Formats: sequence, structure tokens, C-alpha cells
Amino acid sequence: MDYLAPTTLQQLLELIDREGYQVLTADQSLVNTTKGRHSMWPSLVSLRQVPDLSAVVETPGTVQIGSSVCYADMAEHPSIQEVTVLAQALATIGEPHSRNHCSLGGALHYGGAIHAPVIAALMALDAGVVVMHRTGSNQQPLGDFSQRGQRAPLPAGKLASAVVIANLPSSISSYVALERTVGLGPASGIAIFLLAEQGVVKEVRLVVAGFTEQPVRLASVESALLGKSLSPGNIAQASDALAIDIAALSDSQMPTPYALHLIRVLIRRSLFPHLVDGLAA
Amino acid sequence: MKIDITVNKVPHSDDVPPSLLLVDYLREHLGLTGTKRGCDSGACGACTVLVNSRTTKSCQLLALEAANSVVTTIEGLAGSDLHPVQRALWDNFAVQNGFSTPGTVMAIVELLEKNPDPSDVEIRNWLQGNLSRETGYQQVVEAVRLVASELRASGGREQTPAGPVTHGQGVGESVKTRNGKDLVTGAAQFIADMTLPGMAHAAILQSPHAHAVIKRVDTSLAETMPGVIRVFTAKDTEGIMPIPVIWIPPYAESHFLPHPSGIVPGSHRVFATDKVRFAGDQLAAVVAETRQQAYDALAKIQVELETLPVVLDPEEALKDGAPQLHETAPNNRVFHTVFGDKEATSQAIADAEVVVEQRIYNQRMMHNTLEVRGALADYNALTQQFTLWANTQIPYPHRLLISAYVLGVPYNNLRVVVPAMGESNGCKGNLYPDTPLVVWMAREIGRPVKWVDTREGFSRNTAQSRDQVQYGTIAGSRDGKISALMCKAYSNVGAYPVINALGQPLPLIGKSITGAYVIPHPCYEVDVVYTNKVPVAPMRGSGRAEAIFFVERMIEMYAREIGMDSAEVRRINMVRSDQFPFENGLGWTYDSGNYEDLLGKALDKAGYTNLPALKAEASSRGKWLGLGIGSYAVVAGVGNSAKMGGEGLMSGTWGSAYVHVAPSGEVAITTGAQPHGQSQDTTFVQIAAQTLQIPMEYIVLKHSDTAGPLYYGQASYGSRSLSVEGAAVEKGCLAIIQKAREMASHLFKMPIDLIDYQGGKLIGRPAPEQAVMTLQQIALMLWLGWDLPEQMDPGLEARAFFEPKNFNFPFGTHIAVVEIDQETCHVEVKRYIAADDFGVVVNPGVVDGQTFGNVVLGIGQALAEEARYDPATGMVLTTDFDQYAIPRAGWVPEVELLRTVTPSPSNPLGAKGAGDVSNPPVAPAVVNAICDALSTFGIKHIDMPVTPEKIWSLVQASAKAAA
Repeated sequence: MDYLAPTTLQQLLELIDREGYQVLTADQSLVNTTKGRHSMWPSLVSLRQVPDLSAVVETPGTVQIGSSVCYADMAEHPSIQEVTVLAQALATIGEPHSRNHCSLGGALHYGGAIHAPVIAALMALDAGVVVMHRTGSNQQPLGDFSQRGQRAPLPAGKLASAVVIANLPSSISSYVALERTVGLGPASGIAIFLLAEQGVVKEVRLVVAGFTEQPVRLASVESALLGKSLSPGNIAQASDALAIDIAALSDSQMPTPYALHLIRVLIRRSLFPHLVDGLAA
Repeated sequence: MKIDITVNKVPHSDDVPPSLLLVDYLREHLGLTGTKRGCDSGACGACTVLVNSRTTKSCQLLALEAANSVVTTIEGLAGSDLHPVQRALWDNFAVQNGFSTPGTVMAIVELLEKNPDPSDVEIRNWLQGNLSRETGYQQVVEAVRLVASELRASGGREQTPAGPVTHGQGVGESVKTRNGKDLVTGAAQFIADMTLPGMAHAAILQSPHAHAVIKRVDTSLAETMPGVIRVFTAKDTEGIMPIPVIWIPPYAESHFLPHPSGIVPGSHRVFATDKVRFAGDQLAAVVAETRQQAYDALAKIQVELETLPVVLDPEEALKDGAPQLHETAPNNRVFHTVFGDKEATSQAIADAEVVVEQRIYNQRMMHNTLEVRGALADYNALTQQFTLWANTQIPYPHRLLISAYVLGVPYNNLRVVVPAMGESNGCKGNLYPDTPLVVWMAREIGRPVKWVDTREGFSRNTAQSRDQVQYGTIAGSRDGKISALMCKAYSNVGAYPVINALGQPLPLIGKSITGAYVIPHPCYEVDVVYTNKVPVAPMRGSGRAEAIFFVERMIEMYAREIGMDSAEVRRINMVRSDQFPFENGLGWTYDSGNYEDLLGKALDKAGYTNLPALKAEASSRGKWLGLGIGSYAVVAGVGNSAKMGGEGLMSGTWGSAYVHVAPSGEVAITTGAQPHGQSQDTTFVQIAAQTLQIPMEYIVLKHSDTAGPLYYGQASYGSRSLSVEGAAVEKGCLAIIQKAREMASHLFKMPIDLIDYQGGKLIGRPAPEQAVMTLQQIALMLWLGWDLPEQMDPGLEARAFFEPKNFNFPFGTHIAVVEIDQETCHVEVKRYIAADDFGVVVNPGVVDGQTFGNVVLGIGQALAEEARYDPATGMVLTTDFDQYAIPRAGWVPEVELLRTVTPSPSNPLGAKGAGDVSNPPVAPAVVNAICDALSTFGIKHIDMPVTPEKIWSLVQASAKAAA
């Protein structure tokens, strides 16, 4: 096994473009995925010495989070604290090693249940991912990394270098987790993003976390809510559309009927607070 | 590759392989073994260090990724004095076996840096990643709260003066534990921390299938791998005998495996020969220069198996046509027996006004100690002496069983030493095939051999526990008097009997099912069955946990059936204080207690009469609130030897102590107990200090080495240490006093009945000012031997054995208050009250910690823990802490303790067991609370672990039925 720690982004991209070279993200997700069978590792290219990846950068209209920024630093950053759904999702991760070492780079390259609340929040924000490769870069929706509850891996030679959130000041966003004291892995939760005009839903994204490894966007429920006022009846009706999203939950560790029930609870708990003091007001 | 790194303020520059983890760099390259390996998956936190002041699980970080960082390990935390966090944990009894302590300390250090005034919730949340299988977390949380307060008061000063916290020294005092410093500083050497010159490393290959015929084991490729010294298979070990079984019940036919000794039955061999019968059956071992080389070579061994159908369920295994594990056991039945009068019980049931039946499954649990098992062996060819270091609860039985029954070497040629040892939960009270194999391999290669298991290996080869199906019937009158209790049980002991396999399903469950009650007609009938699961051995609360869960659930269902308050049903059926000694009808003779009084105290503390109002208030918040009771009276204090022999245990169960008073007056006591977190180093010395009336500082306790002056002893298990081995310490000290008085009588020329012993002095009552000598002076005179009475030998030493006439029976009532979210069905334990009577308590701080540990384990069983298997292959699925849910700090509320003291007449200390006895009432209290909360849905019973999914499904089914 080789280990390389380039000091510039370009060096890094050159290296990972080679066959058999794999990104070692700052959170060491790769270490855990192999459960100690280190001989399985390929040549590793560490991100740790690439300074460009460790910053939160604000530009007019956007916040860009480097893929090596750990969750603890994200949670303490003033710009991120203003993004309610992301701040609330980060707050659900209390265990210090995870806060100190988990990063979006690890989440996007290797996944893991621990990241689910944060990725759900970013999906609700319709965040983009800056994907770099040796000859250039592009931005793609973060949701593309999560397909039907499974992680969609990046092709070899590509690096998720940052996540970009657009400022959406007039929106409502929140992350609601189910209270749970007992159990493995992160508690189930939902990230919501709502934009309304005169009480009518103009834009909505609902993303559930904790049922499958990757968050699942509830597209059918969102469609059912669009153009409607946010009333208990409309929410209940939209929740009925959830059945369409069942396939994504087939890999859930809990029985599907129970998972669907919890999601309906999450939808209700996340949207009901906004009936009065949010959209409806 | 080169790494530059600063560890504990010391710069290091080393060449390391790229795949080396930080934990291994610290432990193996720098020798900083205070950082422990627990799970290898970042779940347990034993490997926690600070990297650039941040909490980091060092098993999750490549060493090279920490290059140019500043790393602090537990060894670097203390200056000339302990770090305040270290001191606080030690002072607050938050350190038991200490394996999890270094990682926990490191995490707390960062917490207090970030948050000088954390709430209990914040502390518990922060510690979610630092598991502890023994402390129950509560004293850890209290310690953090206290040290935070101290640091705030001192303006955040990092180092506080080391001032030993003393709370007296006698019995009943919360004396600070004695061995804490090595544990909080990481200086204590556990088995994985040990090295010997020339030491080789072993890795052991386990079966990839739980039931198969072995066709071929090809080691040729492995033998060519770098660093490999030898590869061993079954063809090399034909001379090694099977592991013996030492629990052979005499009262019914049993179906064990043969053993060449002809004295005891056999169990599995060090390597499977014809078939593999469970996932942990061993097929080969590699000995190599390094651990990594051994495991790399192990992966190259090719195994060809012809797979067979597996059977995992005991009821299925008994059926005709089920896969058969052993030719000697038709229908896989090891044993069938009945305790009690089955006919009379059946008649009482037939005659009863009310009969309630229920099938209960007490699920299979995994001990899942953070420290895996390991062994290190050395053989001296010149002296033909073996030395084995192993993390075992039973060093003396190891010595006997390995020498006489497995390897066939002289008993006197094997020395067993126990290093610092992590928690056991009972799984380290067994002899496994790997251990004698390591001893044998050391002789074969002529070098020390060390084997330390992996987490995954541990899940397959280390005994599991519980796993009993119970068909219960309880009968009684409509006014709440119980007349009969029947339990038809199927116990799943896995693929082989471990050394003491039948102790759990036979007497420990079978004689204990009456719990704290007078039940005129009890009966327990059991089939003990082989399956393709991992063998079963006792686990904390062993046997009594299954029995108390059974009776407490059955009583609850009976009370509901007749519409009576279940507390009242308990009260009117409890053994009354004027009924002792009480024969329970199944073989136990309860010693003493006031069960009803403690029940009442627990109910008062819980605010039981206010329950309806609490339920209404919770309902208004969308919660179903329930209160559950778990009352218990359980056997503890194993001896006496004759009684245990009658049960079938091929071992004495007396306690022993050797007390030596040196010419200097210093006292050294060697005990037959085997501490692994119970703090005997402190409690036994408290007993000795009180008896000898000298300061504790003059006394040391010795143990953990069969080369000590005891040469044979029992061990620590089943809550026996204090009441049996501790009683032997007291007896030994009294013998010392007696000899000292005889010597003083001679020197003072006074009759012995005029010689008093007070305050560590021998005083001649007629002339107390002149005729007075300290114990030290008398010891010196005895060792000098210049002027001894006739018939008196020189020296001041005593060897004491204590054989209790009876067991002892701690008792109590635990109460759980739970809330269930009406939408999600998530369960939260809101309050937990543990009201216990452990007889005379020597060190309340120690006993509090044991109680917290028992409660947390019980909550884990009730709500989350379960070993799971692949039904097709029989392989264990819960191979790590990501799959097997061990309770975390945030799972439990603050446990409210309450104790009464009813001395036991079974031993002169008046002590009763405490180590594991308060586990049995926990799971029933929690499940009773859940069933109480769901009573409006007609839900009678839910098998453990009670998950939200199970509750939701039952509530849904109830709603459908109602519609």
C-alpha cells in the first residue's frame, strides 16, 4: 500500500487520476469501511495537506464548505449557524470523535450512517457539490450522490472538493429528529426546506434520514404539496403519496410499514409548526 | 514512511508502514499501551486520545494522518499529580476494571475544555462514544460534574494538588479504591499490553460455516508467507485432550461428549477434527513474528467444507429429523430434568381459580466485553515450566484443567498469572480451547506465544448467554394468592457444553423461579439442547436473570388477569420476615430479609400512589407512561462445597486466604478471589484492617498468580467474593490475632483470657500500661523465635478456609418508569429506582458502582441487546458494536439507589452478594413498565429486546382488533 499526501489540489488531482489511487478523506471513513482489513487498501491519496479543502468560504449569495472541514468546525462557523436546517442537523451529532473528524468529503466519497442528518439537510437546501478532476471541475446537485437510499459513488479520478449552499433568506428550513434515547446509529429525522407565497407552497424539499444509509428525498410528497396551502388536511393528503417512495426504503433496517409510519410522523412534526407561525401567517 | 509527530510533548520521528493505525503506532512503536484497542470500528472509545486537543479514536486514524500533530495520550495527561479528571474518576468510584477508563478520561478532558459547566445531559451526550460495560456511567457523570465545579472554582487551573480522598477505613466506609492510580494513568498492563523477549504472535482460524464436514485444510500457502514460524492444524494436536466439562448433574441422564480422562466428560477440542459445529470452531493457527503477519498468513489457509443444515432453535433441534450435532446426544438433548413436584404442580394448576399462560423468550445475549480475550504463554525447556498469562476469572481452575485434563502436564509445572483484566461479565470464567492451544504452541516453537483475539473472532468463539424459551403457567386465587408456578423450558447451550454449562439452565434458573415469593407448588422442567450457535456460559446475573424475568412477568400477568394491583399481589405473596430460613420448594433455603419492607420503600420513593396522575400528565404530552416492578431474591455466595457438589459441580467452592504478618508488621494477604473490577484490593483490606485494627496502609492484598502461597483457590463469580473469600480473610485475620494473643500470654506471663486485642495491640488486662505490645512487636518476636511457648511454631501467618453453610440471598425491588412516544413508540426510561439489600456492605461506593452496572446491563437486555445469526449459515451477524447495541451513557436516567441492611447468617461478615445480583430485577422492571404503559391495548407481553417496531406492531394489531 502506498500513501501520498500532496500539498496542492492539482497534485492531488493528478494522483487520483491514476488507476488504483484512492482518496483518503479527512475523516478517515475508508479506515472504518475496511474494519481493520488494511491489506485491502489501494494506494491512498490523503487530503490532509491540501489547504484549499479546509475552509468555509462565503461569497455573495453562497456559502462554500470545503470537503475536509470537520463537523465541529462547521457547527461553530457563523455562516453555517445561520442556516437553520444545517445547524440543527449538525447538532444531532453529539459524539466528539464524529464531530471532530467527520467531513463532507467522507460523506460524499464513502458514505456512512453517521452523515445522514447532515446530508439530508444539504439535500433539502439543494446544495451543489464541486466535483474536480484533473482537467477541470463542475458542480452537480448533492442529491445525485444519494440514489434510492444508496450512495452513488464518484467515479475514479474525481474529487468532491466542496459543497455549495445558496443563500435563501426568505425560506424556512429545519431539521427535526425523532427523540430516541436507545438504539444504534443516528436517530431518524427529516430535513425540510419551504418557500411560500401568500401561504401557498411554491417550493418544498423533504429529505428523511436514518432509515437507509443515505437520506431519501420524498419527491412524491413534495409534488403533492406544491401549490397547496399548508393545512393539516393537505399535509395528510400529501403524506398518503409517500407510498410511491416505498421502494427507496426496501433496504431499511426496520420493517417498511413502521418506517413509513415514522416518516409520516416526521412530515407532520416538521410541517405543523409552520401552519401558524410560518407559511400560514 | 517517515512520520514526525509530538506525543505527550515529546517529538518523535519514525518510519512506519502506511497502513499503520495511530493506535498501533502509539502502542507498539512508542509503548504507550494506556491507549486500548476495543472494537476496531470506532464504536467503543477505548482508544480515544487527543489529536491537536481534539477527541480522536485512534483506531480510526492512520498514523501518517496524524503527522506533525500534537497527540496527548493518557500517559501524557498527568504531571507530578494526577490530572483533575483522573483524580475525579478515581475519587468517585467511576473506575472499576479500568479498561475503558483511559479513553473516557481523554474525551472528558476535551469536553471540559469546550464546556466548563456541562449539564448531565451534555455529559452523557458527549460520552455516547465511550462505552463502559461495567460502570453504568453514573459515577462517571457525577465525577465530571464535580471536577467541572472544582475547575470553575479554581479558575480553570489544570493541576490540582493530589490529596488522597479518605473516607475512613473500616467496613461500611466508602474508602477510595486502592488500585485506581494505575488504571486512570494507563499504567496498568492488560493482556494485550504485555510483551516478552522473543515473543511470537498467533492467529487462529475459525470456521466459515456453523455446521459442516471438514474435507480439507490446506496450509501450504500460509506456510510460505513472510514471518510465519509454524502453522498448526488438527493433525498436529492429536495428543491434546478435549476441554473438560466440570458440571455433571448427578440426578438425571445426561448426554455429554467423551473425554479420555474417564473422570469428566469432554467438550470441544482445540481444533475441530471431523466436523465444525459452530462459527467459532477452530481449524488452524498460525504463529508468526508479528500479529499482522500471523493474520495475513491466516487469510491464505484454504478450507474445504461440505456444509450441513444448521439448527439454531432449541425446540427445532429436539425434533426428529433435525440436524444432529453429536452422536452421543440423540435429538441434540444434553439433559432433561424436573425440579419440584410436577404432578402436584399440575394438580394445583388444575384446581386453581385463575390460570395464566405465556411463552417467554429470554433472548441470547453477548457478554461483549470491551477487552477481548487473550493469552500469552512461555515454556522453559530447562525447567519444563509453563507460564500462562491470561485474562481469566479462574486462574486456579485454569491451572488444573489445562495441566491435568487438556495438555497432560504436571500441575506443578504450570503457573497461571492474570494481568490487569478488563470486564468479564462472566465470559472469562470459562476455559476456551484457544488458551491451552497457546500454551502448547509455546512449547512447540520454543518461544513465548501471544494471542489476542479480534472483535469479530470474539463474537464467534467467546461464550454467549441466556437464550432460553420458557412456557410459563401461573395459577392462583382471585384474591391474589399464588398457588402454583410451572416453567417448561428449552435452554440453548450452543454447539458444545462449556466447562460449567449446566449450572445456568439447571440450578441457577431452575431453583430460582420462585423469586421473592412463597409459591406452594413450583415446578421447573427443562430440556438443555445443543444447537449450532456459540456455546453458552454464565453472564452477569446468570440464571437468576432468566428466573426472575420469568416469575416477575408471570406475576404481572396474573395480577392483571385478576384485576389486582401487581404491587399488592407481590406483597401478599412475598416471603415474610418471620419465615426465615425459608425453603422455596425447589432447593434453596433463603437466609434473611424483609422483602415487603423494601418493596414498600421502593414504591414510596417512586410515588406509586401518584401513578394515575403521572399517566394522565404524560398522556397530555403524547406519551404513554408505565411503571414496572421487579422484585427479587436470588442465590449468591457460591459455596458451600457439598451443596455445589450435589448440584454436580466438580469443584470445591470454599473461600481461602493466606495471611502473613511480616517481622516489620506489614500484612500481606493472598486471596483465592480473582478481582476483575470488584475492588477486592480495597474491600478485603477494609475487612482485614477492621479485624486487625491496624491502618489499611499496613496491608496489601495479593492475587492473580497461582505461584502465590495459596497454590489452589476458587475464584470470583456469581457474587461470591466478599461473602465467601472475604469471610476467609476475616477468619485468617482472627487466627493471626489468636496466635498473637497466645504469644502475648506467654511473654506477659498471663492467662490468655486476660489478653485483650485492641487497636492493633496485645494488652495484658491486669497491667495494661506495662503489658502491652503492638502486633508488629509480637510479629517480630514470633519471627525471631527466641522465646516461644511450647508447641508454637515461629512466625505469624495463617491459612484460612471458609466454607459457608449455606448460600446467601440478597433481595430487593427495582422500579422503572418509562414513557413511550404515542406516535413513534420509542421508549425512554424516565426514572429508575434500585432498592436492594446486600446484607452488610463493606464499601458503599464500590457497591453503588456494581449496582449501576447491573442496571445498565439489564436495560440493555430489555431494550436493545440481542445476538443475531444468519439462519442459513449459522454465522454470527452481530460481530461488532455497530451491530450489537451496548447501552450508552445517554440511554439511562440517573439511577436512584436505596438500601436496607439485613445481615446474612451464612457468613460472619453478614454480607450478601452484590456483584451481579441486582441485574435480574432490571429487565422485568423495564418490560413490566412497558406492558403497564400499553395495558389499555390489551398487550400482555413483549419479548426482549422490546424495540419500538415491536411495540408499534402490537399497538397496530390491537387497534385493528378493536375496530
